[in-house]
Amino acid sequence: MKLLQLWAFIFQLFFETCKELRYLPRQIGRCFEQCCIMGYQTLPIVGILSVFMGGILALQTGYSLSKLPGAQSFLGSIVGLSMCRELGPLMTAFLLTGRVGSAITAELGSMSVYREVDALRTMNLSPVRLLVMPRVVGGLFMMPFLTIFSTVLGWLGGWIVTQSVDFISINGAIYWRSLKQYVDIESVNDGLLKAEVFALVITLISSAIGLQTKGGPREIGASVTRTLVQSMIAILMLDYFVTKVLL
Amino acid sequence: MANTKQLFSDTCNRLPVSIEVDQLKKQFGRFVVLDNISLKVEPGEIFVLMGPSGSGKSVFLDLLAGLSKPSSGRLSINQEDLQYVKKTKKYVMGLVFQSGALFNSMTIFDNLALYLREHRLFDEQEIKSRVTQILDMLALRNISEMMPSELSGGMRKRVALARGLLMEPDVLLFDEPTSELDPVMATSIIELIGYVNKQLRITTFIVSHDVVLAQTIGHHIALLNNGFIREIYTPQTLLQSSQPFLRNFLNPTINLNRPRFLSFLS
Repeated sequence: MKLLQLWAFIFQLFFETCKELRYLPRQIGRCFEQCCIMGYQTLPIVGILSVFMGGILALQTGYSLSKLPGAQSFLGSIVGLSMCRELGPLMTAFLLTGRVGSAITAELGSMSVYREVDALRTMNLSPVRLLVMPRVVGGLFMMPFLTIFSTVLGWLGGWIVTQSVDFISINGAIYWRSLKQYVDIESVNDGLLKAEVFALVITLISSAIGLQTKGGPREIGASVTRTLVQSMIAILMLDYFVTKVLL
Repeated sequence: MANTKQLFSDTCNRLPVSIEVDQLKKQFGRFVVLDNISLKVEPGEIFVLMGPSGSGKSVFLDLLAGLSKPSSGRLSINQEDLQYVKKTKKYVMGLVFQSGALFNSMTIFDNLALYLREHRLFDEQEIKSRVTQILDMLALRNISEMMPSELSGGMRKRVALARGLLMEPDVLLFDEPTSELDPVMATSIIELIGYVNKQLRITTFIVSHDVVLAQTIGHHIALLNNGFIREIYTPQTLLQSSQPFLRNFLNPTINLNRPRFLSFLS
């Protein structure tokens, strides 16, 4: 019952956010602030994790393919496609949930608990316009950049592994040629579309749970946990359906 | 404080509003918090709603501020239903929260300027002038660049009052304005509310359990008990009433040998 109520509120928040988009020019400062928080501050952790993700992928795949003569020449395409269609958007979404989604819930949750949201309402100011819409716009704007950044660094991680591990016997040129051969603009677009869906879901879920928080500091902590769980389940479920539609 | 009327010229030029509450009921599930409440607040007066902790005072204030909806009954301003009033934004309600509810991520200046900026009421220069004037008026000079977390309880209350006043409201609502303050600071807040009401004639509704506040600045006082209001008093009739609950609320007897919360043990 609680879950249904939450999702009903998330859909309501989505429509209200769309309605409030007409005030976007007046809220551009707040949107820019959110872009800085979501993009600039998340960039280092996305970079580190993506390099290692690409590296691990190359390592595991390279080891398995080493038993099949000549198969390692496909390593570039495997890492390339996996990163841009799946792992880039997914890893970035998980990081955004942990780093940004939890922060949104904690901030809006404490604003609800300490009645700052009620103060906005008594001033005839829409909390969706001032608090939710800038976060959704910031997420939607920054997520493609973060995803591209993650994908490219993942490719680089894969390349570093091919150059430094003994049992992978392909040179860099073959890795990049294979990658370029199979990764087309459509694959990149599919990844970016997924990233946008994930950004929308993360910002809406974290804002909705934050605004619904009642009680005290303990409830704020519980709301943050709820955001992480709900967002990750929603991301994985949506990932399956979006992938199925795109394939 | 000579320029109060000049700063709030709009408020001074407007006629004060009345508030009518008719057979109001609020319940959460089966639990009835407010039952059959009827009262009238005359234009420009200070109405104080008193009652013990947990009696539903703050719930009533939330209903009045339009933050929640009544289960049944009617709330109106100048005989216009509050739901309609909130939709049309015809009347402005300034609510001063118990904790202040200042925006912790903004400076004091931004807290005070938010309403004026978002509603595009004045240009930036005029907003700056108004905020500076009200900070001077409430003896809060040099705090405009501070964050709310750096202020004392009394300062937070005054900033919250300043934020409410800058909205030039038709109705000022206060939730426990003197709670968590020392007696001197509490008295200065009482004086300030009384002064603002006298100068600007804003209809004011206060929820409090501060008897001194009710007696000194309240024009009418109601006592809420178990969700009911039995009678509405003036400061004079409040003292003369012989109702046992009221007498006990105003002058509670202290019995160290038998604390009332431990009475269930016997």
